[in-house]
Amino acid sequence: MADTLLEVKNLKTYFYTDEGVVPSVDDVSFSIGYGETLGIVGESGCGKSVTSLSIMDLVPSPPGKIVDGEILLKGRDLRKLSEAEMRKIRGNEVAMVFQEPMTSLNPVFTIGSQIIEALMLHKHLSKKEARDKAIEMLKLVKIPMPEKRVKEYPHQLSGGMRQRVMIAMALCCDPQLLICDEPTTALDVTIQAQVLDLIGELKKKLNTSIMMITHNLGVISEIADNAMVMYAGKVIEYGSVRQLFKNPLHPYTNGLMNAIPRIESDKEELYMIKGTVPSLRNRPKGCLFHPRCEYAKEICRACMPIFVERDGHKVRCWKYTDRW
Amino acid sequence: MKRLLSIFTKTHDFVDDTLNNNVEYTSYYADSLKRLKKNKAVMISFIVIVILCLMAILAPLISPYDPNQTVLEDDLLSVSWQHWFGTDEYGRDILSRIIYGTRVSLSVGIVSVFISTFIGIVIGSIAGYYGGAVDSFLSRMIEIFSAFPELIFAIGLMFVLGPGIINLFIAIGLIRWTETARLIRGQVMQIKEREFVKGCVASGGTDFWIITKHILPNCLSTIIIIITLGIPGAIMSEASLSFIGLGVQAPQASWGSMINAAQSYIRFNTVYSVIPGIAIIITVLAFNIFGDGLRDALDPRLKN
Amino acid sequence: MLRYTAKRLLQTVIVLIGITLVTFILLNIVPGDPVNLMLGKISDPETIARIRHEMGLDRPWHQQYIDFLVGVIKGDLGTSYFLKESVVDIINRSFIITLKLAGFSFVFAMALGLVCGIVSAVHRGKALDSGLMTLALLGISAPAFWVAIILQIVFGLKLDLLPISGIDSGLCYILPAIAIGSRYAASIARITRTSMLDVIRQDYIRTARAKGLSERLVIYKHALKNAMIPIVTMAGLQLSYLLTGSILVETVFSIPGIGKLIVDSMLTRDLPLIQGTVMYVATLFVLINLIVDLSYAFLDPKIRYEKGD
Repeated sequence: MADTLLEVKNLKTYFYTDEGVVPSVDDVSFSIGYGETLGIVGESGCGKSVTSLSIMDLVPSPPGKIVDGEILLKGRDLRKLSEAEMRKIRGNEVAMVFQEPMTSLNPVFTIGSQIIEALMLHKHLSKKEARDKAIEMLKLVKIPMPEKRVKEYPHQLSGGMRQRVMIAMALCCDPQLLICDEPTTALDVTIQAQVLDLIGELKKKLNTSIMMITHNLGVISEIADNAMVMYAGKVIEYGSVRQLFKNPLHPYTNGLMNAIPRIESDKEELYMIKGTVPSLRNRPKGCLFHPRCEYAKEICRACMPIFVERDGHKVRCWKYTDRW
Repeated sequence: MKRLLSIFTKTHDFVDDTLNNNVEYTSYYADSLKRLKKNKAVMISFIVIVILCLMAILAPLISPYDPNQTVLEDDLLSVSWQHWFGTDEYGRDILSRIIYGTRVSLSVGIVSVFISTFIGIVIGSIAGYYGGAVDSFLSRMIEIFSAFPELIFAIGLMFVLGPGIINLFIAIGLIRWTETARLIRGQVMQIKEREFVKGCVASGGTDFWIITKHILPNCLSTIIIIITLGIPGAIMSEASLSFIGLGVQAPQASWGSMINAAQSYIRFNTVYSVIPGIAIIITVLAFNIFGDGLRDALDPRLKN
Repeated sequence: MLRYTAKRLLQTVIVLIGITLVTFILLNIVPGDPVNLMLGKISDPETIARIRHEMGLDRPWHQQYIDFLVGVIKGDLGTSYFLKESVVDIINRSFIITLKLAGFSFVFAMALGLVCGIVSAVHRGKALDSGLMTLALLGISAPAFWVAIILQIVFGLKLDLLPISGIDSGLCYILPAIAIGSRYAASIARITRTSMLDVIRQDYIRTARAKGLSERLVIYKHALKNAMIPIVTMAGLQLSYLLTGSILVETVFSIPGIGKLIVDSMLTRDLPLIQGTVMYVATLFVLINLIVDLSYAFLDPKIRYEKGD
């Protein structure tokens, strides 16, 4: 596995609240190769954002805590690093773009100074060099008049522009892994497409590995190589985008696929998965999806299914086992 | 559409809204009370407040001596079984004077806050409800009065009015209304934009009716918070005024004036100056904690 | 920014005129005769008439007010009745002392308050946090004059470390500065904590951490600058604590500042002096509020640009 950049093994991140323990990320494993894009899909609250924050060691603590698992970046376990060593990883080797461009930039500093800060920290550039590099980065993410924009404050930019700034900031230190946590969700549809195109383009240009978190399967199909579907803190399906879209195995993935509106479809009603995501505080026994699953049987209600694998396409469902 | 129709059924509209509001309130206040009861510090401070009130009411029964009885040969006695906290420069029992001082502090605290809250509500709701020129005039007035540092204004008033507890009510009541007016003004401006108020306007309710029956009940939690959090400030003002000799009339006992008298004797009797200060701290602290807790329970948004 | 400043200045002028009016009405008109107030029980009609005439109180009140207003604009607040000296001169002399004292208290309170507030916020929910906040609550609830006396007893009488009265040396300022600043410090600590907690959970703090910045930079650069906006507001609004404190504490330490001047002028019933001091202090306050208001603009770029046009 020499070409593996990031490997997450059995990650468990729990939140310890007054009302009880919430297993936000429960035994999650995946890997990302160099230059590869992994898409993580799921409804809100399924643990996909917490997974990304766990990699960055930015889980709000308390109440959150990584309880178990390994996070290997180029073979090095990030969980064993000291806080100071971890800081050298953040923003440098692994960078992150967040969901809310409106609130993710510090309102009291110019966008230039916010990019420069990272450059001076990780690349040890002088202020002048960092400034030039910042302008170059803003040019790269296609912000018009970058020389003028570096001196502006976040509130002077639109949401789309701010997200471009966030991307520029994330990429300025040439990270090997870029984590995008729903980077387009908060944006207008047309802007969404632009930002997504930009990410795709940059990926080709810079050969950065990307972990793309989204609840939008369309985004995954456009940009990702592999995809992982999460449900209530667990991975339920994992495979290449081709496998997943051609032949979705898990009933939940299937439901998600059917829920995408298609112009060619002549069905009037949009497909909807019945019921709601279970509360993580008291998850159902057995398969987590069984209360909403049309195929659910006795065994689904009783035991949590294990992974079944076919050509690297993994699914956590009893349907594909001998016991069905 | 429903709203539109209800305009034609005048009386029903009023009844309807009042009823709805009441229902909402009951569960809201029950919830708040539940949250309040959970908070230990708040419950302790509430017990302290109850004890203080009892002390004030029962002062003649529980104080061991007449607070104003001078025994010149027993001056500045230190702590003993006869005089738990010693005696002052006239030989008066300090414990008894502390107990009687509770009356001054609590009555000034409560009465003056009611005065200031009343003024604040009247001015704030008029400014918020009518807006426009009335609002600019009143807002400017609020600004002018809040420009005076409270104590300076109170000193000026007490100087003009002369010492005495009634004058303390007035002076402290007159200085603390600006903040109330400002808060109420803001709330009234928000509430008057709501549907049910517009409904009342459309159905021809008088302004007075709308303000007192529909808008102010919605400000109730703010008003309760203003009152509880205003009391400790007023108690502090009273103590300060009494300390600089502009408070109660001698020989009436007030914690502030006791500290004033005691400072001349710090070399001979330290307990004399320490005790009234502790009395002030306990009282102010209890009201502060209780008020903070009440605010958090009633309206977490008002935090800070 | 310019328009906002101009608007704010105009408002200030209106408020200042209002203050002269309120001060004038309060001290000259409300209870009838100010001379009676000054002289107390002495009621020799001839003397009263003579003093009334000397002070120009026998003229119609609007004329008196206009004279007073003109005087204020010219920087003339009349002559002290008992000290026979220009009120402005007396005030200026005491003001310098109070300013020095307030300066010390401000630095003491700001430093203590900010540090305690930040430490509390960073260690939220831990014993250190509860300890500091309990202390802050005590600080807010303790009257400054009592703290002053306790400091005198402990550091002056029992430990014999610091002087407890007068202004003969710099050391004399230490205890009064602490007494005056204690309540202010407590209040700053509480605001700082709330404000920091509010800022720390913002998205941009997570961004700063994701950049790999050290916790120190995250807290002291990214969080504190945002948290400072509400802190400066409250610190400005509560500067009155320092003044209130100086009124109460200067007398305890026999410091001839403006606080003691106010109390003494009340005791001697020197009307021109009282009127002048009240005017002076209130004006000072309005100006401080103005400065605080304008200084947000430098902290919050949003205001700087939005109020620009």
